[in-house]
Amino acid sequence: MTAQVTARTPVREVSPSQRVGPAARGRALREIAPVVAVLAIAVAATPLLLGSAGLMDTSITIATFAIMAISLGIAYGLGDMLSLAQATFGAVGAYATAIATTSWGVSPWLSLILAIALPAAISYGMARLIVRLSPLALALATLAFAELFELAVNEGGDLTGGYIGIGAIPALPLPNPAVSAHVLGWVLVALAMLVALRLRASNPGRALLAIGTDSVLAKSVGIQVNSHLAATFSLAGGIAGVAGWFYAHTRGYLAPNSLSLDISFMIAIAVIVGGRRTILGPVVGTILIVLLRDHVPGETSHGMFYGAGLVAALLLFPEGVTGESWAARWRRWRSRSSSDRLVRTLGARKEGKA
Amino acid sequence: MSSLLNFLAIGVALGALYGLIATSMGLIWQSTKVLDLAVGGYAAVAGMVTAAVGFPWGALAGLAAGVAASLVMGVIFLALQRRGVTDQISAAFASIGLLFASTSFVLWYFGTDPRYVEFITGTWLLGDISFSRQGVFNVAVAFVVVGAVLWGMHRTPAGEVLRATAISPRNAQLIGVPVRRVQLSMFALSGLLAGGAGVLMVFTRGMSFGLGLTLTIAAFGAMIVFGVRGLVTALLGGLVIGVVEAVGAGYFPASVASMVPLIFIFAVLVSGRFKLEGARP
Repeated sequence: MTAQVTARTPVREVSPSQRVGPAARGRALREIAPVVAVLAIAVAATPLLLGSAGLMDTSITIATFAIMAISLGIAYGLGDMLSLAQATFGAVGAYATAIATTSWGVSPWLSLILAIALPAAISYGMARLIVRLSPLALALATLAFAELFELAVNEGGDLTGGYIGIGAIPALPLPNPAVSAHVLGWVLVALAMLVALRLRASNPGRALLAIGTDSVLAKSVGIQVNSHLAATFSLAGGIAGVAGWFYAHTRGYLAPNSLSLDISFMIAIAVIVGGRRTILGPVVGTILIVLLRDHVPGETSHGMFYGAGLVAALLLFPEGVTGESWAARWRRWRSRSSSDRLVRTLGARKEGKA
Repeated sequence: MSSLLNFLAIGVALGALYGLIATSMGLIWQSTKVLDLAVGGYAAVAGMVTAAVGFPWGALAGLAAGVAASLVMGVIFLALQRRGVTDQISAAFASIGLLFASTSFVLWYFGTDPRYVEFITGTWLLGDISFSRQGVFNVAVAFVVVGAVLWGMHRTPAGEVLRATAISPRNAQLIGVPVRRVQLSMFALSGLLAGGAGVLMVFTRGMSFGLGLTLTIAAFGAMIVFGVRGLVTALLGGLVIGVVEAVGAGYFPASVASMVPLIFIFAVLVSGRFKLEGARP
């Protein structure tokens, strides 16, 4: 009887990808751990920030730039496309929402669509032109684009507000604006990280890894190299647009130099310092750079610290702070110091015998 | 017509300085395959030091400052090589770091005020066209300096060593050339050229802390305008960029004029004429 019941139990077909064992679950948890850690730290820090408007502002600034840095992490870390126009794509999103909300009376929530779509479309069009270039030429082309955009915004007349910019951009309709902006900012950071994680684990993400390893080989096995890279660049542009949208509605004011080339450089430095190939790297790099900017006395000397920090990072941690294998580095240091000790001991013995 | 010719004259005088900085960039590119984007910073530092020290030693102090700044980049380049970081983008980014640092140094030490030093005054008139004497001096200096560098590289034993190192550092090392020292001296020479342009710039238009990036972009445009073929083409490219900028500034709003070199750079890069390693299929 029991045997009959067992035989009648329907057997569901399970595809290999659906067979989630403990190892796969553990791996998934490990992958998502940085996102959880970032959110946990942001939540834990909230009570500390409540009493200080300055600290709350720093948190919102970090969140804004971290979203841009994550977008660059996607373009540069996965696609080997170093964009020096990431803040410019953010500015496209920021201007789109600023114009839509102040001139046309569109709700900030609705203008988010425009703030994502417009930079994504522009970056896609641009990517179709430049993705086949070498990484350095691509970076320089984006630099030229960033400069051109800033000049164009200056000449934008009433639409962009020219040099004066656009003021009175409505804040997001949320209770307790500062705390809400802090919470929303870090939720957006977590979402951007999840998008980056999902992309890495997806087929397009694997295709990007193949392109990064050998683009000729990737093309020879049927991967549409340029399409994949352009789509990734566009995705990064769209995420940067979200950062621009957030910036516009938390600052309330936007000018050509708000999200200028300097910010793009800062974002690139943050990604390089933090580690472009890790999920956490862009966020860690942004935190380091913004805290350095805020705590180094004298605004005029910031560039010296950025420059020195960038050179030091390139020399000491070419893969960034989070990309470095600290355990291996520690083991190397330990073995070097123990071998030094051995040499010193042997030298002392020799001298003693003599 | 006469206004166009006047703009051309202004453009050539300015372009000679861009050309000198482009030559400096081209020299490093040819010898080390590093795109040194800090050259504008060397010029800015040199110009500001010249203005701060004043006559008669300002120009010499400015040149020394330019060389010192470029030697910093040389040391960074060698350190990157030693660490095994040999890709072009890391070295270029390190130079951007130095450009940031030099711009910040100029701002921190000299402040936001632009500096100008009067050196050669007056103009020569040729019909309706007015030639600034300082501008003519700039063009003459640029051609003489680039000519001297070329002569030194092709007609002297030291130049042979420099060229051998540029062609193959490994082979040069095998035959006993002190490659690192030679590469460092290339950076020093590059700093001398860019610093010279900065000194002339402070005599011509003045110098301000934010000019470093602008000069770098103009120099980069000048270097690639004829396809990175050599130092002479870099100098001529500078003249083209200078003329385009001056004529654009004469007939269009300043922002539009500033766009022209950038559009040009963008177009050249997209066309793939500036060949770099790692281009995709």
